[in-house]
Amino acid sequence: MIFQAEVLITPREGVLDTQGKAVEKTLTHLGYKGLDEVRVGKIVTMKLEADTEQEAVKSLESMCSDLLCNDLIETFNISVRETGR
Amino acid sequence: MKTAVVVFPGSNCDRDVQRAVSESMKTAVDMVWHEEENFSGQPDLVILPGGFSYGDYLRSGAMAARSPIIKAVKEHAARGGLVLGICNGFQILTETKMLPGALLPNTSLTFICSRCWVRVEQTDNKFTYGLKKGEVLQFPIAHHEGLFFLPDDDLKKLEDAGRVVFRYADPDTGKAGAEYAPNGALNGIAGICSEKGNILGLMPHPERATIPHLNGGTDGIRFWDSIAKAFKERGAC
Repeated sequence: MIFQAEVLITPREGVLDTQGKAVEKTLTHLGYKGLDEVRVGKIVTMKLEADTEQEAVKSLESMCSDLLCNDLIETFNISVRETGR
Repeated sequence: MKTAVVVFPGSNCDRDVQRAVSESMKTAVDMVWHEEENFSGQPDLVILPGGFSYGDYLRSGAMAARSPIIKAVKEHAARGGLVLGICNGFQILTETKMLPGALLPNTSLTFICSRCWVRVEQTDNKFTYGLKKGEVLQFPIAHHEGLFFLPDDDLKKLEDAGRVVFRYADPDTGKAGAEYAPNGALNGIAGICSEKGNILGLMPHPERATIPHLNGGTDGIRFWDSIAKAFKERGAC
């Protein structure tokens, strides 16, 4: 089966997120009020082939620990949906 | 003393390091492409140079840390061989987990290219052996991700173990710490070493402080001389 996957990578809590801080400051300058904990992360998307959804997720978790995510400073969230066979 | 400089796609200080090492340390320097799986002959010192390996894609040093040559670099370090990572090389060493921590974007969110000063915090390693503890050296910096980060507990352990080798400093007073770090590095950390002292990573560029008529000064020559002295008097392992 073919899955469309999305890996959302964000800075771990407690890690200095200078980009998030700068974005928050600029949004505040633009007049948006009540903002807090603005974080900037990244999304990796891909199509991948696997027998089951569970296998697809397992493979993506492995990719995160091997390369996509530095667990000292980042956390990840995986979502997948089947797009075809 | 045999030196190998690993070249990644996007390295841009490899030739500077080659020149600085061959002229200062009077040693042969092999340039090794990152796709190699072994070093030819056994180097005593392996250098991961500065630059923007893989265009800093994903995270600085992330892709380079998974290059084929890295297995040989780890084996070399496990044997007690010397490994030096400068700037992007330091980022690569943290990505391989050969050194702890991570280098985050500078607090200014700008690329900083400037003169800077570091204080030698310890000399019980294979790199600063020939320098004096507490002396301040001028090495330039040029980076966007130089904010050394470690969670509080791990940072304390690193400090307690005396593994901070260079700290950003004021050249006039000799004081060092976070307030002198141009990039926001925690505790003003500019360079750290491994537990055994045979792996060193630092953000500033000692290879760019070796030519008298350029603005970077010549303190870098003392750094390279120090490595040569350590090697001569204490051996590679």
